[in-house]
Amino acid sequence: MSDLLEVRGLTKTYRRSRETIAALRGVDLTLAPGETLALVGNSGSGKTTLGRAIARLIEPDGGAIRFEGRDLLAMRGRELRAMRARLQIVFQEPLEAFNPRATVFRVIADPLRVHRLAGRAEMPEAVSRLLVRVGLEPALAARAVHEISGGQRQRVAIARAIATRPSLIVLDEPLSALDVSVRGRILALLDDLQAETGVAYLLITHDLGVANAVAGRITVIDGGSIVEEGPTKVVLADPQSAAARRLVAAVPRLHRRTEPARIGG
Amino acid sequence: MSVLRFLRTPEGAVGGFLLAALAFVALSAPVLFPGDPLAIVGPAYLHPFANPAFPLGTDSLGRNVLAGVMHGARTSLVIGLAAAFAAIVVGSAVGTLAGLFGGVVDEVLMRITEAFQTVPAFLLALAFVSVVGPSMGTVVVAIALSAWTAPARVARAEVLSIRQRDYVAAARAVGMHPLAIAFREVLPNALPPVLSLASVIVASAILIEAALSFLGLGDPNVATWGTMISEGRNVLRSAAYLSIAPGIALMVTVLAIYFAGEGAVEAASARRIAS
Repeated sequence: MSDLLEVRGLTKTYRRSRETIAALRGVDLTLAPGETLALVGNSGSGKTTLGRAIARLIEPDGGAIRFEGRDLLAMRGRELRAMRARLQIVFQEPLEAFNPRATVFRVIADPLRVHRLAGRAEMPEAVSRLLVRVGLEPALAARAVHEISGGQRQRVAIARAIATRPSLIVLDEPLSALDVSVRGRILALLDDLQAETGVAYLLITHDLGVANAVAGRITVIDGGSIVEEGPTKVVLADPQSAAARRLVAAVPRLHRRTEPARIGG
Repeated sequence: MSVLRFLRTPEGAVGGFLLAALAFVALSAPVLFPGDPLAIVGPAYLHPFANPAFPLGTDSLGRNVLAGVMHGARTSLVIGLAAAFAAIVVGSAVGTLAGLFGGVVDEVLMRITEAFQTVPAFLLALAFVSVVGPSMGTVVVAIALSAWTAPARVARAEVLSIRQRDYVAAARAVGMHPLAIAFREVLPNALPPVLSLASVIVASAILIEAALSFLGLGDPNVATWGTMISEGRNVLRSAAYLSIAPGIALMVTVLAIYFAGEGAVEAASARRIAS
């Protein structure tokens, strides 16, 4: 099987003073090269834990992850750091995802420098190219990350993620911190980048509208387990699991019958 | 501008002015009194204001007290700043590594920190200088030896909260080396509360240095306030000015540093409220 990503039986339990919370209870998941898989679920369903475990930012307790045919969880040290060029992540809150003292230049130059993709002399040129690629002015490089708008920040985060030409980007709620007016343009950018580079996305979201717009396949996670999986259109039209039905019901556009009654004039 | 905000607080204004004056005194000492401040230049026990050439008089050997006080300012400030710098560099590095890596690294580093904290700072400095011998360098090390523990604990606490932040996760996701994450991403953001300890450390370093010199464990080749106070002690009834002049200098310096520290903290918190 030539899957890009294969997750098998992944478990993770958080212990908080005597209380144990099972965030992941044996999750299975596969992703083909160049595919977009939406991972949807309510808050607390374990979707962020799963995304971070796949990005090797959280150590799972059990299970296996194969990425590009290699055992991801067995990687350590230098090997793991080198692999990170292939597997990137974009966080929900773009301001949180940058060092508060950093400039845009530094944020984008970091992956290029760490993976030796550009020397000191080529760096300004390389950073400018990436900024233009995500639809930003090269002059923005000199600005501090806290000075630019939320939409610009998320574009910078995307530029950082694509800098090393990864084969998979985990998008952890990449739109939910953004203005509605900006969301469509960021989605269009992600779409363009995928068409151009063939990168695969694992799109974590609770917004079925977003999932519907970009993902061919959808996986529903609830209480740390995958409860439903299938082509996006099929799952949205005829949800089988209770969790999927709840999510579909929460989207007014997709569920005409529960349209809220208008109040007053 | 943060300097202006600092000077607008009463503590900052007083402390800043006094520190500027002290820095001026320390810097102009070799210009106004070139040559060795420990050299004998006049008659012994000349009282202050008796001879315009020696405004603060001379000591038991006929050394110029004003030259001693001014050169002593250099010694105090250099040792205070050097010890505080060393303590903050070592302390914040230890605290950052302990907080970021956690587990065994944290346990080992914090037990070492506690071991140093259990020994009174002055006794540790005293023991170290007694064994290694007095010189500017060993006095700085002796003071830093106990002063690094406070910055280490503050840095560790700060790092423990910073390491949960997404930008540290992002740096890992980028593939940065753990040490690069520690010193480029985490430490600079953990530093402000650590730096607020600087004034306390400088002030206590100056006091420890004076106390060591008072006990005869200062560098014998430089003029220090502690040594001057100690030598004046023998003639306290007949020539109290020999102890009073360096004593006032010491008091003013420590007060100035405390005031400046208070002013800096106040200016920083005013900025936090404003933003």
